[in-house]
Amino acid sequence: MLELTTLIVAASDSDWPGWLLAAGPVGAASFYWAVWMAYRNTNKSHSYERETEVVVSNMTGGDVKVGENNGTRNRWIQGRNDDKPRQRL
Amino acid sequence: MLTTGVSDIDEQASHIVTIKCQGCGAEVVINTESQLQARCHWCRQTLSQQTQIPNGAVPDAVLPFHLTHAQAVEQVRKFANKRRLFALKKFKQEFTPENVVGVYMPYLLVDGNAHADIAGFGEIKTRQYQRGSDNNKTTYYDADVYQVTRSFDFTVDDLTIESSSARANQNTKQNTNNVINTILPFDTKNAVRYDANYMGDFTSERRDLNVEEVMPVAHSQMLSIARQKATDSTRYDRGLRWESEALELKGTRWVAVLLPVWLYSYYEKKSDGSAFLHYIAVNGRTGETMGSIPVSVPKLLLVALTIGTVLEGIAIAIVANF
Ligand SMILES: [Zn+2]
Repeated sequence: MLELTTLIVAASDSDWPGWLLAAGPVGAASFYWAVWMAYRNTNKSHSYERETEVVVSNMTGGDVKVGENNGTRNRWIQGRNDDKPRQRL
Repeated sequence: MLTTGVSDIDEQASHIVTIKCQGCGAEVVINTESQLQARCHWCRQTLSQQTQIPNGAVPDAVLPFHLTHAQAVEQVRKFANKRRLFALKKFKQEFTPENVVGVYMPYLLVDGNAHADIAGFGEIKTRQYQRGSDNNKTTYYDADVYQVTRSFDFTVDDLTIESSSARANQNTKQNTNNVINTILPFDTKNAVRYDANYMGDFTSERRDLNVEEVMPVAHSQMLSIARQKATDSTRYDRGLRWESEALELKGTRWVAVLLPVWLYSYYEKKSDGSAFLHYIAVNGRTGETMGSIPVSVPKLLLVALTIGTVLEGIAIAIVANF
């Protein structure tokens, strides 16, 4: 395993495809996880946020530009949570 | 306004009794007129009349079964057959889908009227570019940052909340109650006024949570709904970071209801002596099915490691010949 790590570290600063060596561990773990979820379904629950009958009225609010975030390497806004409605703030 | 049934079961329904299961402690409601030898719908232990406990509150409404026993057997069989390869050997040997039983599960339905205030920040991408040498490029983004606020009224209709404390525990490390939660929703609009005659051959479970006790759950679920509605009203291609949320509940209306679930249970005895209950649950109205099938961990590990070894072999061959 140590050799593997050394190989990966050595590989990362060139175009040598050393990252391929992660295929074994990643593949085994992904397969294990996928089968476990298909059988045990521990990540499933009723999506009440979307499936409950809801009527919204009097929607008000604002979208005000307050600044810029230029030159960032992040694909998404820092601390994005619009996809986690159950997480209390 | 509260319309939850709080009166005791009346004399005419004296054949409806509640029994504490000596196997697993569940409080099972049975109809003694049609069931002489009732079994616990959770652990399948035979229920003894000796351990009778007082009946709980009478439910307000019941949603009768629509799916037949035969249809439920078929759903359970289909669900398990798709998951045979890595299933525990003992589970496959003992698999008897005909053992699926009809259970009226207690829920509280909530209609709510609320006001929500949600605020945070959103970003819109203005530019995307790459920097660095040819074979070591990094992608950068420019974005405009917006302060986002949403304030609105909303009503929810028939939000459905578990009202049996044992079933409300959704810790997937301890139980598989989450699979019963997953087969929601039900067409609760078609529920009828409760009548003990609907019990027939089915069992039921005593409701032991009252409105006060499930209020925090209802509040949190309504807040989640509000967050989802706030998000739905925006368009930020780099997403949002909500930072504050507030819900003002103006009014709620509650109905205690029994909902029809076909339940297949399997008691897994682990090598360390502990036990774990797996369920396959079928919605007694829509047929939606969800379950937990015990996994043979050694078998799954072996196959996962084999796949990993093959992939690693290919990877090493490619890297070595690069
Ligand atoms: Zn039991």
